[in-house]
This record gives sequence, C-alpha cells and structure tokens, in this order.
Amino acid sequence: MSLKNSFITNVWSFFTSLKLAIIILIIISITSIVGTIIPQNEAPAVYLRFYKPSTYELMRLLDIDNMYHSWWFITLLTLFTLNLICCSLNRFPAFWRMITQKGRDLDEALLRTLPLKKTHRLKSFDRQAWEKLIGTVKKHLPVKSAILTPSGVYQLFAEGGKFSRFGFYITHFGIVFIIIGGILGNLGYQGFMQVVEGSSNDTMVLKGTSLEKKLDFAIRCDDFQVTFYEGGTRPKEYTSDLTIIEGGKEVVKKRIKVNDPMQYKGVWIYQSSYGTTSGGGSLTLGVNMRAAASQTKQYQAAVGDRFALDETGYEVEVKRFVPDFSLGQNNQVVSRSQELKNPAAQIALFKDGSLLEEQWIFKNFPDFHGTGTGPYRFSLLNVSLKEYTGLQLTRDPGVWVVWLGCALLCLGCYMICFLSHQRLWIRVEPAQGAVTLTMAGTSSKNMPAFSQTFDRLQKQLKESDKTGVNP
Amino acid sequence: MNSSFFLGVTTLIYLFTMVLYFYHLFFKHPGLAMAVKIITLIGLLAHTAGLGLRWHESYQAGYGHIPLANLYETLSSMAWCMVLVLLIMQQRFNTVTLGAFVFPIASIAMAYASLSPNVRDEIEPLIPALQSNWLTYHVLTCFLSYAAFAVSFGASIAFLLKKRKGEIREEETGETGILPAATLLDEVIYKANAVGFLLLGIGIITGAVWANYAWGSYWSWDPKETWSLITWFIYAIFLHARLTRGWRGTRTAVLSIIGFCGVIFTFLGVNYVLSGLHSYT
Repeated sequence: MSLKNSFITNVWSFFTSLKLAIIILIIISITSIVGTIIPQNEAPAVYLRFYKPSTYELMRLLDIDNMYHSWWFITLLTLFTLNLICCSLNRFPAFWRMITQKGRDLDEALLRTLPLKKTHRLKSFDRQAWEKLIGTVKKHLPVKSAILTPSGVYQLFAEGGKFSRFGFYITHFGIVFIIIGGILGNLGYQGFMQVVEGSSNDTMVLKGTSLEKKLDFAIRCDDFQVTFYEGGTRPKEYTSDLTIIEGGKEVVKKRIKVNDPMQYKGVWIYQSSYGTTSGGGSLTLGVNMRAAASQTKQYQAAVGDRFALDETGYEVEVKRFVPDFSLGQNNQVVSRSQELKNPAAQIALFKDGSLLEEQWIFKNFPDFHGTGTGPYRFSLLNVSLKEYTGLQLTRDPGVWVVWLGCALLCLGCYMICFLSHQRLWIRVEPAQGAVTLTMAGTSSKNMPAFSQTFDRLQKQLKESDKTGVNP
Repeated sequence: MNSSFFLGVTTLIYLFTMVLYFYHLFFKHPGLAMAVKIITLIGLLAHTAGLGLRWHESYQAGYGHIPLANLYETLSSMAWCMVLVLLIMQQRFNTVTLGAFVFPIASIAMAYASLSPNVRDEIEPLIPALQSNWLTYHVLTCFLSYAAFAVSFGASIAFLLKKRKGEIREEETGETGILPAATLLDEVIYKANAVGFLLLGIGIITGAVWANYAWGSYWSWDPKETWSLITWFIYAIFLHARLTRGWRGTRTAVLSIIGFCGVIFTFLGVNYVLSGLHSYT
C-alpha cells in the first residue's frame, strides 16, 4: 500500500515539477525548429526533390511534413498544459495560506526567517510616539495592524502589493486559455472561394483538403480592382465590392481589401488572391488566308473550343490562354502574372482531323502571326476575360478565448515581473530604562529596492525619536 | 537637409560614441561619463530627426508609411530602439560603463544599414499586406523587446568577463576594476529580460491579432512566428530559473546570451536562411 502511495506521490511530483516544465519547453522549442527548416504541407514532389524516397516515407510516418499538427507534437502540448495545471494546483495551498494570512506578531522564530532586520534603541516611547510611528510607516506601506499587547509590547504589521501573488495564476491561466481557444478553433473552418466578377458563389473548398462546404448565404462580387502606385507596377491595393445574398435578397454590401475584411454571421471574409478565369470569357480570333491577306474573318472562341474554318477540312482549336506570356525554365510558357499584360493564346490547326501545327499569337503584337507555315494566318484581336476575386473564409469560435488568454498573460507577466509583495514588521519593547525597536521585512521580489525603502524608514524613525517631531 | 543627411550624421556620431564608450571603459576621466551620455543623446536626437523626416518624405513620395518597410528602415529603427532603451537603463541604474557592451550593437547595425551595398536605402512603397496600423504596434513592441534583450546581452557579456578576471567577490558593491559591480549587472540582466519578455509577449500577440485581421489566422507556425516563440520560451526559462529556482550570476548570464542568439536568428536568420510570411521584412 505504501509502495503504491509513494508511486502516486512520485508521479504527482513529477508532473508538478518545474523541471518537467522546463524539459517540455526545451523539447517543444527544439522540435519546432524542424518545422521551420523543412517546408510544411507541401506536395510529395517538393519533398522528393530534396529527400530520398525512403527518407520521405519516414518523414510521412512521423508527420514531419505537417509536424505542428502531428500526434507527437499535440502530445507534447497536452503534456505541457497538464504540467501547467498540476503546477498551479500544487502551489495552491501555499498560495491560499499566503493570501488569507493575518498579520502575525514579530517573534524570534519569524525574525529568523526574514532577510531584512534592524534594531535600534529609543530614548523614550509612549502612546503618542506610537501613533507618530504608525503615521511614518503609512507613508511607505499600508499598515494592516498596530496593537499594544497585554505584555506591554507594541506590534505593527504593514504590507503592500499582496495581489501581485495572483500574477502566477493569471499568467498560467492565460496560457491555458490560449490553448483552449486553439482547441475550440478546430470547431470552426477555413476555406477558399473564387467569385467571378458579376456572379455569385456560395461554396468554398476547405483548406488543406478538396472537400466542399456550402454557406447559408451567397457572396456576389460586383467589382474587383487592382490599383498601382503612381508610375509603377507595384500594386497598392486589391479591392472587391461584395454583396451578401441571403434567401434571394441582398443583405449587406461592403468593399473589402487586404487588411480590411468583412464579417457576416460569424464568418470572416478576406481578400486573399485574384486571377482571370479561362472559362466564361472569350477570345476574338482573326483569321485570313495567307494568299489573300485583306479578307479577315473574326471568330469568337473560348479555351478548348474547336471550330471549322471552311469546307476544306481545316479546323482550329484554342488550346491555351495566358494573361501575361513569358518563357520560364526550359522555355516553358508561363504566365508571369494574372493581369492582362501580355495576353497570348496557343492555337492548333488541324486538317482532316490530324494536327498540322501549333503556334502562339499575341494581342500586343498584331503583326506577329505566329510561327505557322500553313495556309492561314491567325491573330488575337480581343480578349474579354473575366476576373475573379479569391476570398478566404474563416470561422473561429475560439478566437475570443485566445484574446482573453493573451490579455491575462500580459497582465500576469506584468504583475510577476514588476510588482512585489512587501511585508514589514515593527516591534517596540519598553524594558527597564531602555526601549528597543526591532524592525524586519521581506519582499517577494526586487529586494534591493525594498531594502532601500527599509533603510530610509529606519532613518526616519531614528530621527523622529531624536527630535520628537514627526518628520 | 533631408533624412539621408540626418541618418548619415547619426551613423558618424554613433561610431564616434562607440569609441568614446570604449575609452570610458578603460580610462574613467571625471566628467567623461556625462559627456558620453550627452553625445549619445545628441546622436539619438539626430536619429529621431532622420527617421521622422524619412516618414514625412514617404508621404511626399505618395506612399505614406512609417519607416519599417525594408531592411534599411528596420535596421535603423531597431538601432533607434536600442539606443533609447540603453539610455533609459543607464539612467535608471546609474552606470555608463554598460554602454561599452551594448552601444556597439546599435552602431554596427546603423553602420551596416548605411554603408553595406547589400542594403538598399530608397524609400519604397508598402505592399498591400503591410498597410495597417498594426504594423507600427507589432514591429515597435518587438523592436523594443529586442533592444531590452540587447542590453541584457551586453550586461551578461560584462558579467562573464568579470567572472573570468576573478573580480567577483561576495557582497561586492560599487565599481571595482573597469567593469560595473556584479550585483548591478545581475540586476540589469534580470530587469532588462523581464521588460523584454513582456514586450516580446505583447509583440507576438499584436502580430497574432494583426494576422487574424489580415489573413484570418492568428497563428500559422511560419518560421518567424515559431522562432519568436522559441526565443520567448528561452526567456521564460530564464525567468523561472531566476524567480522560482533562485538562479543568479553565471548561469542566468549564459541563458541571456542564448536568448539573444534566438533574437538575432529571429530578426535576421529567418530572413536569410528560411522563408515564410515575413519574407518581405
């Protein structure tokens, strides 16, 4: 039985030890570094570029590609929280004794435990001098009790900043609140939605997944704008004019921009990205016979469309469109941006169903008709593509708990680091012919400052005795 | 006279003041301490004028933002915070010798920002993601905390040097040899770390509030966030060791130095070595 008890005691003291807290903090810190060096939540191809397949398998096993949400990291955080709570509970009895403690008379046993103590002799002492002494002490610390004991000894107890002892609990509860808020956040969601200008959408894709989630309302994008700094290509602002539509009615209208989101029914809507859609818009192609350059025929087409040019079996397909044509690595065609800076289309020419040639044509360079050598020349006359705005949607029911925790954490840290619990005792013992004044004190923190106050007070008490005047 | 003039003058004053601090460390002429203090203050005023003018000039350029937009501006603002915090601490603890261990960090940061060809010093516009008042609150609290940690780092170095020279004795008061008293250094280390810890906590929290407002997520474990948290943990360990375990002297000085390595990595290392949300700072 006693073995069992000692086991429980050992487990308890392990969980409540500061040592465990420090060890967990160090482990959390060191493992956190891993996630700052190895990219997180990337596609397998990204990792396989740097690591051997076998190494990558091991990383997947330990969730190193998503380590901050891995089982072992969550376990560490849980252990840390438990330790925090156990430490707080463990210290509670001593804390409660300290808070509820009544002023105690200064005796030899107490005197031995106090770091600051001084004794001096007084010429005379009476009731009036006692009142004067209380007045002097009050200037430094609130006097809690001042009595004349039946044995003729005067006892005074003064203390200040007792509430600073709460700093320990306020700080640690703050951290626990932050963690609880983080857990509550899992009840919410984060998603992403594209809304094409002029249309509306009510379905988002949840972050990190391909799952869709429908909202109770729809978001319509009335206009999307990018503004630039004067005389430059640096973007100044991205704005979307949004309308919330619920039950077929327009409910709210707001212009959102980066750093200025909107909120509807607990869902925050952020300006996140933008782009041009390949679907929905159309390209105007100009086609003429190489032999008869004057006659240009116009065709409206979207990406993926295939249409016949004449009855001779020639067909054209719009294979690809990029808003800002550029050549990337290995001469791969890429779009440098999502803006219509250098719109280009890739078109393919077919004869009787078989591919003759592929070529790129550019809106900004109408005289360049592509690299083709076939009987037709192509040009990109006009582009009417729709822009879409990329919105992030977030619902986080735990965020206010987190903010409350943060506020408590700051308040508690301030109390711990900058306020101290100061206590002071004074005993005046009139004996035959001589009166002895003993003063003693302690401070929970910042002893040098309190010891200065202590010395100043003693000096004042000595002078008051000499002159008999209240200093 | 534009901002570049004032910031250039500041760099010169700081480099000169750094030499004065070293001179004061070895030859304590009467009156020199006061002169060093006054010259540091003049440097800080020139620095303030330079940064203020730069802020004003950014409005004239049509951007209008606090000088915290690129590496040049962040280094310069950080040096400003350091000199300010150092002056306050020197006044509070009545020592000028401490400056010899802290001031060089500020003047080297300033000189690097002004003279290195790697640091562009044009006034640049702010990208949309940074256009928020939270930028000021977040960066300023973080930089003030870095400044406080720099002071504790300097005091820790001084403490370890003193220990190496065998100058530490029991119950020592006043300056012995060329370094400040051990008890004073110990007190500076604790106070500066406590101030820095609180400010870094507030800095991380204002960053979280801003991130939540701008991106809808208060914490995303990006490298800068994670490293600032690690740094905060190191100083949390320092405070527990000191307040609960009663650690003093060498061990706490070593902890402060480790903490400051965390600060340096959070401020510069993350940008040069790692990448993430903060990649534009």
